[in-house]
Amino acid sequence: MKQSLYKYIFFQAALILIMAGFPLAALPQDQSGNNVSITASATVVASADIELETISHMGILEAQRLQEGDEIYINPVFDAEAGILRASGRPNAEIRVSYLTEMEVTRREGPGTLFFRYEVSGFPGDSQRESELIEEIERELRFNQEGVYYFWVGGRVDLSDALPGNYDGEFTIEIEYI
Amino acid sequence: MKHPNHHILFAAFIAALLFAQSNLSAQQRINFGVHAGEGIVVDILQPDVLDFGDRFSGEGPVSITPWDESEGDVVPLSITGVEYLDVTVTLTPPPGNKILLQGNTDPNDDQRSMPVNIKMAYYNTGPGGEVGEDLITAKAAAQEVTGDMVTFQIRRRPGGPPGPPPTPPHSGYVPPKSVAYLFIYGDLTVGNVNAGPYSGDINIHVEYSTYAFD
Repeated sequence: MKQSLYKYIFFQAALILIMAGFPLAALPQDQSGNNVSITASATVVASADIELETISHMGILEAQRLQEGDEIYINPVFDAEAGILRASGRPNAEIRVSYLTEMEVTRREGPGTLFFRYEVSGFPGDSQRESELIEEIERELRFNQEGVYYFWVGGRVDLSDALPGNYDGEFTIEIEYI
Repeated sequence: MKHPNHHILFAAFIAALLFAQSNLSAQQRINFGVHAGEGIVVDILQPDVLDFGDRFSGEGPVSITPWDESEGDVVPLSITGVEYLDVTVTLTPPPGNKILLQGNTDPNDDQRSMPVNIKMAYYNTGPGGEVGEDLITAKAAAQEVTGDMVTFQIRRRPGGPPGPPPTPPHSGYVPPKSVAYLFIYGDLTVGNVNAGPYSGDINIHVEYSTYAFD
């Protein structure tokens, strides 16, 4: 009885081996195929829009010390009273800058005008002393690697027709990609 | 029987095997031109990444192409195989045809994914062998593929009437090999998406063509 059981097991095992071998043989041949994978990539760095932010306003009142006769002159490169603007956009992108150089500002309470003649300097970084007058920069202006460019706004204020009071003025600058 | 457990075990095992086999036999087909053992070698050349570079949110379409002005480099691949055989190349673009911002796994997240259209072109009309420095010429002469699958001869026969049939494979005979080139390129659309690195995998499967009848 024991011997016949071994025979039985042997038979079964042989059958299994045959059956197991058969599907392997029936499997498709080597497809000689080859798989490779590559990566598609891109880095999005910032918005394409240009944003302009006022860091500080031009301090006319504080600039009284700079008054000579009927005129106050704020040097955009050297004077702390210059207004500061920060433009941000595409890193390293070339830009073209234009601004209104002259503006008449009226007194809120009535008659009386101030006459502004702006001077603007720029630098691709927050370093006023390194900035150059926009009109005198002959090379292309460019955002820095972080996509930032700074402007300092100063100029001459003619006080000859000014009366005491509050004056509101604005400065218009236009920046565009080339 | 004294050991019924064994029987049940064996019977189940055999039943399982028979089941597995019946699955296989259901896929019986007659294959023509199965060429095994003459391996195809696919190499990715430089650059090995389809890099669309630094882009700005909202920038719009960016194209990498082998022919016109391109905003990035095409990825070249070499396919080495038996000269007179056909190969079938299957390209699988990134899931959802999107490349995803690092950390994002959802191609439907429009803030953190960008649509890509991955394309390929092949070149098989060279003098045979590797083109080396002439890869630029090969690229310019590449044939554009419509769709994600293409079949072409490793080396296209030059013009004129068909040549004699190839020597049948026999012991000791090494069939002539040649190199075809594949170029991967495509378009990316940069929408108003979040900043950061985006990537996606492109799979390329190359095999000798089989002409099968079910």
